[in-house]
Amino acid sequence: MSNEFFKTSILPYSAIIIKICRVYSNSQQDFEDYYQEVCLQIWRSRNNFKGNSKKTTWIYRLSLNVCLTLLKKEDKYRVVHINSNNLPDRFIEDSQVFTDKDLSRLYEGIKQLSEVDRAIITLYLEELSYKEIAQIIGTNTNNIGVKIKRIKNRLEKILTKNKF
Amino acid sequence: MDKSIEQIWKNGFLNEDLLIPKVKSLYNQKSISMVENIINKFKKQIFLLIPLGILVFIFNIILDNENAIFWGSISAIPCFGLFLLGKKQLKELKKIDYKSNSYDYLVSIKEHINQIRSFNKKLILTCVPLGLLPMLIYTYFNQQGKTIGEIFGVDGLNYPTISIFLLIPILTLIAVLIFDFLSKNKTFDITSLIKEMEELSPKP
Repeated sequence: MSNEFFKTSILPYSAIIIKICRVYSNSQQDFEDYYQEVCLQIWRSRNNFKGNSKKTTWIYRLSLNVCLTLLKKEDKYRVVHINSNNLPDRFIEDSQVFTDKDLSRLYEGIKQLSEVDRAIITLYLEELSYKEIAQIIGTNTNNIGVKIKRIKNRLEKILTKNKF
Repeated sequence: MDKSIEQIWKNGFLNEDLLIPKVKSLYNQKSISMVENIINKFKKQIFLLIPLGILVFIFNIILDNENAIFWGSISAIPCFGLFLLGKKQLKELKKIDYKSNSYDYLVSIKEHINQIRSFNKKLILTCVPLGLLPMLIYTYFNQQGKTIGEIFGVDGLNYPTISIFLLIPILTLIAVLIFDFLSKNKTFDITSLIKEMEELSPKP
């Protein structure tokens, strides 16, 4: 990947990629692997961006697709289903924790949602319009509002529960 | 909750210094997994030769031909021979160590697979005609005067006995085509990955 490509096509969108990758990874190692894979996929698909949507929308979609694909691959080889509620504290690496405690807690809450719900709430929090979210997720715009309301309720419950 | 999730997100990232991970060792794990996958497939193909040899032998017995055990053994021997050869080739392939970088490693693996493929192709081009020749000579002298159709029990093939030797190029060609079909995509993934690595970094 040339430095030029990295500077113009990856770096400006790094915040987006980092946010998405963090939602789907449980360790620093996973996070770095996901980040690298997304960068690589952006490079591979560089000629596929036709400008039909905003570049950011395209990056969100691509990042989500890569993370979900990697997650599925991992699930395939995972014998025991791990529920984040059952994880010992030491499993959450320090490097995965944000300096902002509220943000860290929010991330941990989001990680307890289903894969699709994680995507929807992240896109919502990134202030994407319902239309853009629907485009990225590949669903009807009408359903998004209801879905977001439900996810928010669930997330708030998780956060309240985790607070104590 | 003191703050809404929207506020936590927005304010959190305003204060957060997002560290961009360095893109490093991009292909290490990928190349190792890819080679492992190729080796596993190769291994499966080799071990399939054992049941194939047994099946060929049993098939001859079932057909209850004259000298079934002899012809069954003759037919099964190439399968077991190829099994031993394949095992040797697999051992050599596994000997290739991970070099200092993924690129060199993949190039070595690709070269080695191509060498194996080239050797096996030459083996087919030599062994198929050599294996067929004695059988066809035997058939030619035992079935002299009969047409091809009469020898194989197929109506309409009124060709002289000598034309039985045409089976040598025909069957060799078929064997080569089958071999090419089975092995053509073996290095496709590696070649794509090498190409991608060359594009990403002109001098890996």
